[in-house]
Amino acid sequence: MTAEVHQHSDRAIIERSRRDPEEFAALYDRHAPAIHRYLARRLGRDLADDLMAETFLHAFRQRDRYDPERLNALPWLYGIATNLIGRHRRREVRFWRAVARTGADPAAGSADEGVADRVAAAGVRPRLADALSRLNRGQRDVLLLTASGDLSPAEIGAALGIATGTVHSRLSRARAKMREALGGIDPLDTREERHHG
Amino acid sequence: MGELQQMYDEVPPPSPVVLAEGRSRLTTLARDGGRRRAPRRRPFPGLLAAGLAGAVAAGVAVAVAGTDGGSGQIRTVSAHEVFTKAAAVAREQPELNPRPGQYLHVRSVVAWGPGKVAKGRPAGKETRDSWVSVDGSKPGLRRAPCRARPAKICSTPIPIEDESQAVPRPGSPLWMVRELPGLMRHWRSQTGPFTPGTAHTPGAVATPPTTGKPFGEWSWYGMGDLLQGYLPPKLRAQVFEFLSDVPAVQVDEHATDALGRPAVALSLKSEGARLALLFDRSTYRYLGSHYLDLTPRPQGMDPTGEPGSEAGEGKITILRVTVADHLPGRS
Repeated sequence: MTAEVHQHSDRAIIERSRRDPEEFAALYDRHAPAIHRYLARRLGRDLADDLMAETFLHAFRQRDRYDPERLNALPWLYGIATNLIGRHRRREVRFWRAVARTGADPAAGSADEGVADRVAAAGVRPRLADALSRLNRGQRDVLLLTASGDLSPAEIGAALGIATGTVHSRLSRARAKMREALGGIDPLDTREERHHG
Repeated sequence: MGELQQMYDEVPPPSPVVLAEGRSRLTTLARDGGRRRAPRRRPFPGLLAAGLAGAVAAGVAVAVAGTDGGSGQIRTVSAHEVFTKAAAVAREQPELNPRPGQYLHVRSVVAWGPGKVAKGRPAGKETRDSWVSVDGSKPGLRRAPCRARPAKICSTPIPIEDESQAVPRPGSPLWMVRELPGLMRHWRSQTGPFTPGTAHTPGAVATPPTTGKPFGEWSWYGMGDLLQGYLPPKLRAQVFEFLSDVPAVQVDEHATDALGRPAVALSLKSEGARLALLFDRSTYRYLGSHYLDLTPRPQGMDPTGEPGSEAGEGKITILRVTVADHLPGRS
């Protein structure tokens, strides 16, 4: 019930913003942190700061084309963010390669960022990052949208403008490549016990 | 938990400052009815329009020039207008409410040289983190690339300036919050032409007074230092309003910050140098500063010991300011 109210509110916010543009800020307040997390995960926090705002500026300009049948605006916002990431594709590849090379993950943060770096370096993170850098863009989009945990396969399809079946096939291929690179570990498998260090 | 999901969980949420900035950009566009297609990339349309409309009222229309003092387009845009808008934006920023005993964590990017008068010096850029005691009661910490091995991060303590002083100690953020309103009233009462102070040290923080009337004379350079640290939204807005009355401030709408982002620069020059305060062209949010030597410094003068301090040019962009309960662990 809460989710339904929430979704209705997204659509209602967009509808209200057509009459009162500043109403659109309510959508920002609700979803900006999730969009920032997604962008920061793929491009680093500094660029995410800027692209988070850009995502909502694009969304605001496109709000008249928002499908009123869609109750939840999050897939729409993720789609815009993913398009913006596509403009920085080389930078994203360099980002993942840097994580693979150094073991340091600039997207992660903690009170002692050095600790985060050491943890990353000790685990499977470098191999994972290297494998991500080798995926094609479509597979990486699907895999990382799935890992975000916010969208169903159908919503990912809506975000990327592809069929749900295509989402499943891309995800399947991406997971196979990742397992191969990680020695059989599925980076999306929440049941698997792994050894660090 | 899957490794990929864990990677998401490790990403910290955006800081309140970043969220407020993004919201400000959105509401600025929304108030404009969405007519502006790309506010960050346009050459400061709001300023131009506002400047043309408000130049007479502001009474401080100035000539546009490069921040290097070179020739540029002459336009009747107003530094007063920019500062006024910057004040309005500053008021919308979230309050961090730092408490005594906490630290302010400032992350900045510094880019330097070579400037016009130090052409032989190398250029460089680095990210710096500093943790400053909110009330000056404890030493702080600064992290930046090591001089000898830039790939390595070195931690340097920030000592307590004067332990004999009462807390909040002079120069600390809480002391500044308490004293600055009175100081600005004092500065406003100064008679005669509004002239920049003489003391300036690029890259240095505001120096706490030790004797006599603190900050007896206002300094454009000192204000630049103040803005790079923590100020509550209302007080930051008051500083911008104070600066909006400064005459002869030059405006350069084609400046860039330390990250190469488009900016509008408001600058004054004195003592053979020019300091520009940089603002986002679309949101008027304060970004940082740009220091440029206009004449060569005396040989061997390196007042800060910072890399690039003799490069003749330096830019600082503030990336984020957050509150921390503790210093980070040593790296």
